[in-house]
Amino acid sequence: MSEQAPLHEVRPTTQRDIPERFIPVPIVEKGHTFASVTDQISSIVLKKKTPIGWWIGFGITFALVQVLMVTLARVVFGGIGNFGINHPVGWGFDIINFVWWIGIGHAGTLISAILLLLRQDWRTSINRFAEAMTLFAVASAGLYPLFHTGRPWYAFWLFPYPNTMGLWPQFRSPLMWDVFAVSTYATVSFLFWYVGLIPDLATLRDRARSRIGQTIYGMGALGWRGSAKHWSRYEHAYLLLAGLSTPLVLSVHTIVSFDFAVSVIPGWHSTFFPPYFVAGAVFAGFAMVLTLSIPIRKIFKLQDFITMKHLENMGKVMLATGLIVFYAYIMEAFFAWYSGNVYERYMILNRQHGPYKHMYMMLIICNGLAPQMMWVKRFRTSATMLFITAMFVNVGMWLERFVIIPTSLSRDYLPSSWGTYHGSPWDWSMFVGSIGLFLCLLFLFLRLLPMISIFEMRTMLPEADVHEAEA
Amino acid sequence: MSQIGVPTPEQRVASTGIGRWQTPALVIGVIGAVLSIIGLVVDPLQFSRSYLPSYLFWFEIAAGALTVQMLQYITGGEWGLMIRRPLGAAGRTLPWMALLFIPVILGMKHTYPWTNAELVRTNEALSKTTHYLNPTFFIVRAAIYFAIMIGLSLLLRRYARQFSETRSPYVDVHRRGLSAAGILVMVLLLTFVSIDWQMSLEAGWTSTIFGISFVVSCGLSAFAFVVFLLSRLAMTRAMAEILRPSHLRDLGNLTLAFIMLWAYTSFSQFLLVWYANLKEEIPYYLKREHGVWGWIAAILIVFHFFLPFFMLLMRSIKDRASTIGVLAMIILVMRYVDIYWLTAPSYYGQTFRYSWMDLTTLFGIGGLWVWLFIVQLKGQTILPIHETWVEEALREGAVRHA
Repeated sequence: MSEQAPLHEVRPTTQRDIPERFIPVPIVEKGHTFASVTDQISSIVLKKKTPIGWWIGFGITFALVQVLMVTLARVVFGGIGNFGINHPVGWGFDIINFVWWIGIGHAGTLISAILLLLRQDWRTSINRFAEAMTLFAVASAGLYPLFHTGRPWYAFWLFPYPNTMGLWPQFRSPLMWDVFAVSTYATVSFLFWYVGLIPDLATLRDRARSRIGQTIYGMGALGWRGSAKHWSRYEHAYLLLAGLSTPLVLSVHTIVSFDFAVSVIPGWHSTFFPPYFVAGAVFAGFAMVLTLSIPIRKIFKLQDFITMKHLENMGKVMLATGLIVFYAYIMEAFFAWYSGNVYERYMILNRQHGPYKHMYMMLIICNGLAPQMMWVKRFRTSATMLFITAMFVNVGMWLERFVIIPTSLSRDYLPSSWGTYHGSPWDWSMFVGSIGLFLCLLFLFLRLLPMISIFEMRTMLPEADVHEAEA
Repeated sequence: MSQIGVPTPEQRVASTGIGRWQTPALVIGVIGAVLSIIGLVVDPLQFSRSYLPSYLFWFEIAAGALTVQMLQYITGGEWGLMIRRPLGAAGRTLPWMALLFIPVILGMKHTYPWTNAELVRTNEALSKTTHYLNPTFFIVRAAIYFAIMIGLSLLLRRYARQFSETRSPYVDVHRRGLSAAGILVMVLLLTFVSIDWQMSLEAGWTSTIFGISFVVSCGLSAFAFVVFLLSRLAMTRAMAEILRPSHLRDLGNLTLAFIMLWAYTSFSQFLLVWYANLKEEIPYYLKREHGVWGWIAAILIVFHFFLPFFMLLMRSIKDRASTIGVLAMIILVMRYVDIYWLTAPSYYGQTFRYSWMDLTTLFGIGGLWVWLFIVQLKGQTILPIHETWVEEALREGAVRHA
């Protein structure tokens, strides 16, 4: 081991040969140069013929968007009675899916903002599409409360503005806090994503062959010339937006959890809800990033950039947040018993043995047991196992919201007001349609914009690593 | 290199001089203990009520240190190297903390409402949880908690020894595996500690976030304690050339994160209880916002959150040992105030009370604890110099610094 070896490679050990498992996996595979990185990522957008798989995927998801359109038309003309909601279950699929989608969006913000501030380099190759995923997830989420109002054309009444009707929002309602939290979240996430795109849009502008490509990417690049001043301003803006996004990761889902926790319904009123929801959101989000990135890296041959190190790290985050969620399930059950409160005790018995007991059982399997596979390094470093675990979590997080919402609402304090709930066909078509919208937007994004940050990937290469002494 | 951390003659000279605090700590501890014992004879009720918050304050530091020690094994980073030895020493005081828990058990009938058979019969919630809240099971659980914590700290110690002997990366991997599982165990364990020792003081009151709030408080206490210690050692010969502003800044940022988590969990609990306004829950805060307790709550908001929050945002404060030391001291004092505010109104109700025994027990346990801590820390280098890449990290640091 020479004296000059870089610090991070020096691991003094009495064993001469370091076993392979202790050699760090690189963030970018070996053999890449600045040019090869730029070529490979930008060519997906600029040169390559659209793969047939893209057309099939886009076609299917675009068809699902039409299902969404029909559903929305039905709901607007026929009213929200088309959904399965009733008395006493006034909140059903709409809020379940809203919370599910908002949660999924959280991984994008966490990866882009918090991991940036924590100087976690591995975020670089996944942050761009994770942020895009955030935007599309928030768009899908936003549909639900909007159409649940029944009169979406009056949705602007939710904002406090001086008007002749003497109408003013109820600021004591967490649903109002949601309006501000989610709209702020959408705005900041969009700005963050767009600002990060500017240098790459300029690269695309410079490399585009077609006139139309040059014009559109050129407009998007906002006159970026890559001067030192531009870079300096860019770095400042990006860090500032990262700082702004960080509290949003916590605040949005905290406020979503308040929607339930401020009430007095057993199973909703739990002081642990804020951190539990935030952890659940990150958990769901990382599962979705894995669900998307595993096929994408294979289809577009990006294994050099999205390496096993990325997948493994995401598996670790999924395990950690999954454990917090599992802790919450244990605490809910323990405190229901410990409180000695008859309603709290019934709530947990109803979950385990009531009409929705299968949901609860599947929830424990999907969110409680399946992520435990991530303790094993062999599973954490297998794309197939990661994908399977992530699919379990995707389903599990949806079930979690179902277990919380209709199970508690359908049987609260008074047995005389108990009821049952199940989603109507329109509930299901809207759910499937919103998945279609999310994936359709994602397909467009993959084809039209660089899915990995080109300029940030270049900084990951060894040749970009200029030591202080040499500088 | 067979013995972990035995300093070379050269390092022995460059000592932190921490041993000179040993005797004063013992003297304070013994005086506090003697006065407290007098208190016990004069007024056993008051003694028990004073002993619990004082004990919890020092327990939080020890248990928090064990948890943070495992955290830094998992995450790595130079900040962990700077505090690894003090954390280990604080964690190894836990066997003595188990001994110091005996007065809590003996005074149980003065503090915990569920020991009162008459009350248990009439209180609906208490009558349903007698399987859990009864003196025998309470003692058994405490024994299990201490056994696990002591076991973990001994295992960590053994791995450290093994590593210094073999320097095998496999030992490091095992240690990280133990730490990952250990943190999980500690979070569950401290949750139940908080339910048993603190929450059960309020008959029939529950809050699901209470356990996490307690875990965060333990972490915060441990960070504040080691930051304070480092700030005192910064000027000594052993540390002066090693401790850099960036280390203090990293530790300051972590303390800031814990301050924010503490505020987040505390505020979430308050907001949700206040908003729902349920008769089972709201009395907890009605007591604690009344009279002097209300002023203490305001002090906590300002000095346990806003002041450290804004000060820890500033680099000029984080980077300097003298300023961050003062801040760490403020946080430690506030930890005690918070524990007292959470504990004491459970038995005094709306009336504020503070006895001389609260002080004697605090300093009695504290003096003994600090003495034990120094015994554990003394005789080894303040940095784990035989650990992986420490020498290189230091050399690199020195070069960059020059």
